[in-house]
Amino acid sequence: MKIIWINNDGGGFADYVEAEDGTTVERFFSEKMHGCKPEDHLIRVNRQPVARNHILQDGDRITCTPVKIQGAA
Amino acid sequence: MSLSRRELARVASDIRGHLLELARRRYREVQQKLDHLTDQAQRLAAIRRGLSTCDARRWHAAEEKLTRQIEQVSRDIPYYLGAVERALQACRLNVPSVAEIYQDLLQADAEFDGLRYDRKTHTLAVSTEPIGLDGVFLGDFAIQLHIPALAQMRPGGVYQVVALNAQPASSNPSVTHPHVQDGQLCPGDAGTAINSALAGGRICDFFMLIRSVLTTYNNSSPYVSLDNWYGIACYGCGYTTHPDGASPCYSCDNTFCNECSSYCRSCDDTTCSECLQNCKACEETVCPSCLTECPECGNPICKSCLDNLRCPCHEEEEDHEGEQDDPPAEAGTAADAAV
Repeated sequence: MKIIWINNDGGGFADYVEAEDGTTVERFFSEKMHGCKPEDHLIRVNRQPVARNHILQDGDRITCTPVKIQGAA
Repeated sequence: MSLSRRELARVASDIRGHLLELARRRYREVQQKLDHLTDQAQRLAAIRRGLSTCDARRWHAAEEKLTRQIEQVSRDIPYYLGAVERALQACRLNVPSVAEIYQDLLQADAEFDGLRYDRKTHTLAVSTEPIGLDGVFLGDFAIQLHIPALAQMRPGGVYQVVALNAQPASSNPSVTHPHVQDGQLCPGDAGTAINSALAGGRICDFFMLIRSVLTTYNNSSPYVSLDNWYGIACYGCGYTTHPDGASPCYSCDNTFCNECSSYCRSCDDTTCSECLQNCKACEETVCPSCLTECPECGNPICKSCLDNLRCPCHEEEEDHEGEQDDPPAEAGTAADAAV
């Protein structure tokens, strides 16, 4: 199935990616954001907060935004 | 929600209109960069024709000159090609539909407990919760997006971060947050993602990214560090001073205001009044590093005076030796008198 994946941790570009049927949000995050903790990010599916075991559907839109980002001067 | 559904739809349409203008500007940018590149290609074509003529007429000197021109143009082409690639990269963002932007605004309203729109200034705004970092209370902030500025995306012109309950740094009232000065946020690591979110019409992502920067303290690069947010306290008198008006003592490492600090007259290092001591010889105030003891009498003197034997005990010794030399002069006078 195709998922719209927007990763705001970095470039913030939107991409269509493939995911297996039955993939949960937790599994998708661990695959795409290897080494990162879900609790350090705001994860939204179709603009809504979801549980970690929420199963993704074809055409879903996932955004991931870090809770902490370092600014500068 | 402070905006009605109809107003929200109108704002979403306005945003899309400006993003379309932005997309048109970016395509024009690609054309401009392409013009520069094709100019270089045309130059090469002209040089190529010149080389052909020089070859036919055996103009070797002219051939050499044209070859050097080819080298120069060849060196410039990668720069112009890179500019075209960057301009193309900027065009890759799709302009979302009004419906998508509308949904994004609904999400922003839910994430931030209220979305506000100023019809006069065409500014969309959300507010953060009160922010405290490392024990310093900074208050809450409004993140303001100026919608017409989306068409140009000039740095510093698209959004502002305004302190609603300002607790600015004591040394600089324009700094209301370690990473905000004069309403301008320095986004640091979030810069690229923020620009991408704005250009893609992902307004809620934009607001969330700004909030993530505001709730994080980067102690390696603030306008004013949180350690000095309330100013620096002088170790001597306790007076709170601007960091520019405070100096560390090179001897004891504590920080002092300008009134309580001085300098060593021997090495010029900044030294506090407590650490400075008087040299018994020259009576100048010197730091502990420049002060030593006379090996003869134990007087505290500076190293310079010690090297030049200027300790008062040496002067006393010279005076004493001078007194011992005087008697032979008196005996001679008595002998002359006898004769």
